[in-house]
Amino acid sequence: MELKDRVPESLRNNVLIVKVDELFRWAHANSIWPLSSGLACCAIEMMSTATARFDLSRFGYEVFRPCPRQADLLIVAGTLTYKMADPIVRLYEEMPEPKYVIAMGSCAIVGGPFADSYSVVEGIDEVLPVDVYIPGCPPRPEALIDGMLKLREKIMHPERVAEERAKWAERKKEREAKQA
Amino acid sequence: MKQRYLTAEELARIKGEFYTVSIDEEERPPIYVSPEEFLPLMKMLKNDHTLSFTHLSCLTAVDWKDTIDVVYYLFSELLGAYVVVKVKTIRNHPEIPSVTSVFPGAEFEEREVYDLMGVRFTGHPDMRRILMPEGFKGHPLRKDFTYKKPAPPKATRVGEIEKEADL
Repeated sequence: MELKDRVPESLRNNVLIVKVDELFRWAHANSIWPLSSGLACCAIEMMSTATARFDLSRFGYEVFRPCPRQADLLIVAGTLTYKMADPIVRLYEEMPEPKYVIAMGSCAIVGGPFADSYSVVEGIDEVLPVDVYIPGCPPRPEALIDGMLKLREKIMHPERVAEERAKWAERKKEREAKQA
Repeated sequence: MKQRYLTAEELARIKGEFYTVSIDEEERPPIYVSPEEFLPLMKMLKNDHTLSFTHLSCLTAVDWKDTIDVVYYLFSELLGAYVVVKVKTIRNHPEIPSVTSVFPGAEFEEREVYDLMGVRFTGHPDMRRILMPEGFKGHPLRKDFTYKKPAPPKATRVGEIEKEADL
C-alpha cells in the first residue's frame, strides 16, 4: 500500500507527504541565520542588504546573529588579513552544523587589490571551505541576495551541486587533454 | 588660531639647556637629540610652564637606509605651536627609551613603530606586535623588507558536507 493511500479520504487535500530530510532542508534553506560579521567595506553593502530598501527578510535571511553558536552562515564580507585569519577560523569552528560560507567581494575571493600586500590572505578559500562566491568590489545588495538564493538552491538540492561538480571535473579533464 | 612652529629664540633656549641638541633650519625646524637626552628633553617640553607641549600629536619613524629616525610631533595649546623632535637610531640595532612615562598615550604608537619599523623602546610596558600576527618575521615598512607569505591557518573542524564536496 502506498503511503498516501493510508491518509484518510477526508484529509487527502490537506496533507502533504514529504521526506523528513527534505522537510528539514526546505525549512533550513528558507531561514538561514547569518553571522553579523564584517571585515571591510563589503560589510556596508551587507548591512544595506538587510535594510528596508533591499529587504533581505523577504527571503527569511534577515536574522543576523551576533553569536556564532546561533548562526549557520558566515558571510566573509571584506579583506581577510593574517591578523584576522585566526579569529575568523575560530568563529567558523564555533558555528554549529550544518554551516555554510559565502565569500563576498573580490577581497574575500582572491585578496582583491591588496593581494600583493604582506598582510592580506589571498582568498578565504585558503582558510575556510567556501560554498558561494559573489564577485564585485563591493557587490551590489542585489548580488548578495542572488548569492544567498544560490546558497538556498545548494541547500535544497545537494544532488544538483554534485552533478555540477561532476560536469566541471569532466570539462577540466577535457581541457587538460586538449592542452597535452 | 594660526598654528606655527617654534621660533628661533625659543629653539635657542632649548638648545642652551641640552648638550646634544642640534636644530636644522627648515620651515618646520626639527630638534635632533641623542637617545640619552631624549627623555629629559620630552619631560622639559611637557612640564615647562612657558612651553607646555602637552599633546603628543604624532609618533612615527622614517627609514633613511643608514639610520632610522623616530619622529615626535608635540603641540602646545599655550603657544598654539608645534615642535618636531627627532631621534636618530642605529639601523641594525635601533633602540631608544620609551616615552610612555611622559605621554602614556604613546603606548600603541610605539607598538606600531616597533611592529612596522623594528625600533625597540626600552621601558615600554607591553612591547608586542600590534598590527601583524605574532610570529611574523621582519618589519614590513623597512626599505629592505622582502617577504614570503606565511601559510594562513586552516579550519580543521569542517562539516561532513564540506568533506564530501572536496574534489
